[in-house]
Amino acid sequence: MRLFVSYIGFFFIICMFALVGLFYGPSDASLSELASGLIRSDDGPMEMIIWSIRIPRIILSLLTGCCLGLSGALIQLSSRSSIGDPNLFGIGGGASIFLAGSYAGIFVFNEHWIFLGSIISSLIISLILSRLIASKDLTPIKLAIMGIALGTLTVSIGTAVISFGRVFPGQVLGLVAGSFTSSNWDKIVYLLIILIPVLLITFILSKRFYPIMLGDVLSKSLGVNPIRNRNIAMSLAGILSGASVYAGGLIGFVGLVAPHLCRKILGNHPSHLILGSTILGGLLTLFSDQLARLLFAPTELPVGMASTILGAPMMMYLAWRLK
Amino acid sequence: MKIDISNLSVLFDDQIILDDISCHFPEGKFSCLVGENGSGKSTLLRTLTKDIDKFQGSITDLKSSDYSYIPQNIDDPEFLSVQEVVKLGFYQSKISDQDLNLQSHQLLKRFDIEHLESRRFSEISMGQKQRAWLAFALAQDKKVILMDEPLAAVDLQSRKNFYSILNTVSKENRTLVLVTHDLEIAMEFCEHMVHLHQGAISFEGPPKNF
Ligand SMILES: Nc1ncnc2c1ncn2[C@@H]1O[C@H](COP(=O)(O)OP(=O)(O)OP(=O)(O)O)[C@@H](O)[C@H]1O
Ligand SMILES: [Mg+2]
Repeated sequence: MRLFVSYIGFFFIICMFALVGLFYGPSDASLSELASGLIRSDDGPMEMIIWSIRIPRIILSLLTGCCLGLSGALIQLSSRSSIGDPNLFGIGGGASIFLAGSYAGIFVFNEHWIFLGSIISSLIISLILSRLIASKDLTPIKLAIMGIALGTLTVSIGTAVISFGRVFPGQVLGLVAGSFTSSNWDKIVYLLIILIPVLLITFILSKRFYPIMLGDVLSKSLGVNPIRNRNIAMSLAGILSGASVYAGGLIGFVGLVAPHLCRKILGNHPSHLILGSTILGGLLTLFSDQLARLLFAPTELPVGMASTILGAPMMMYLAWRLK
Repeated sequence: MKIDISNLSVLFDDQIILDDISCHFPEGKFSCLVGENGSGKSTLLRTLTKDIDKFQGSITDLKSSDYSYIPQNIDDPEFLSVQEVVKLGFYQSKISDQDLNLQSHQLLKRFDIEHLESRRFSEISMGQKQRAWLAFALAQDKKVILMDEPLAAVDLQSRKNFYSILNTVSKENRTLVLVTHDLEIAMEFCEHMVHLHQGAISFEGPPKNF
């Protein structure tokens, strides 16, 4: 019952933010103008704003957040670290290096390949991390520190790469601090192609990921191969965070906060952890994006900044409780 | 399932830790493995569970479905509650959710920690954690149970009680190996004793001969 109410609650909050995203914005149109744009009566500017700018942005920020939330849950499940986050640990940074190269014109690909390249770059970093976690004497704290170092490294490499080309400052900011200003329906399709199968696979395998939390020695005695399952979980996390960086740049802390919030609200059951983190990731990112868009309108903040304002205190709290 | 160890040698960085040892742990008996600090007790268990995979000699090949194991040092599992840890012990058994709740509750009760079941594992006391790991190990219902000083932080009153629980468990045709420093209690409850001294066996047999 409590679970049901929580899910309904998430749904309503998401709808609320979506309505805010739909009806508030710099164009200052009246509600009735917007409403008529929504129902596609003509080809006027309102229809343009609603259907090609605001709605794709709402959906894309939601889906990107879903990817981040799920990715964070997978990392926390398989790394035994309570401060696991795809962008903090450099997984998203892998994709950002690739995208930086593409923005800087170091290589020229069409959109399909850029999307695929982002995913593969993140996948590589996530497998490196998976390798690190498997080494015997790496405590969760050591792991977190190494992950954060890796994260910082990837962002610096990305920034270095980008300075080789003539790139608009907005594009750079969008990549390293997150932005949904260039949302479109194509990106939504790309994200759905990744998110839906990964979510399904995670659901099917979730029971196997669970014993890894006990550590490698104990999960082995439960008949679970910790290394193989961790590689699978981390690969899925890598794919998701690559897709998220392609869609919205580096958005910090959503992957960290969503699973923790989920545990507080829905408890620790594997399927609720996975579904709840996905939904809450979407909710938080949608919220952060609306905050970034409207707080100082017409000037936009990077969405990663808004999410960091929410997430950094949470991380400090978690570090406080760490032993 | 009987455990046989013959001519086992383990080296760490060219240093001999276990020196050509041979011993056995009989089926259906409660065995204790004793010896001073650094004598190689943990190393022996880690070799049996393949946590250490570089060794010479031959040992009984234990598969994951054969044994449960409590290592000497276990990192607290993040996020999990006491009950969730014990429930994970039933991971390989196909029982209904209802049985799962019932049986894990019974195990927690057996080790007097049922009042802690919904507490976060990392937030209970050392001795309470050891009780929970014992419950976790017994939950797995394996033929071989290997325990590395699982009672070191348990209070003396309960310790004897747990020794007798383990003794009972070994009667269900299981092979129990307990690493311990409580010589006196071990002599009272165990049926087979192996003493390690500087990486070699200095005694093996019934505790009354020790
Ligand atoms: N990872 C390691 N690398 C190198 N040497 C090690 C390692 N682990 C243990 N040793 C050495 O192996 C020897 C045996 O260690 P082991 O942990 O098996 O002792 P133990 O009998 O379990 O001691 P205790 O009663 O303190 O638990 C010790 O001399 C120790 O220094
Ligand atoms: Mg030891």
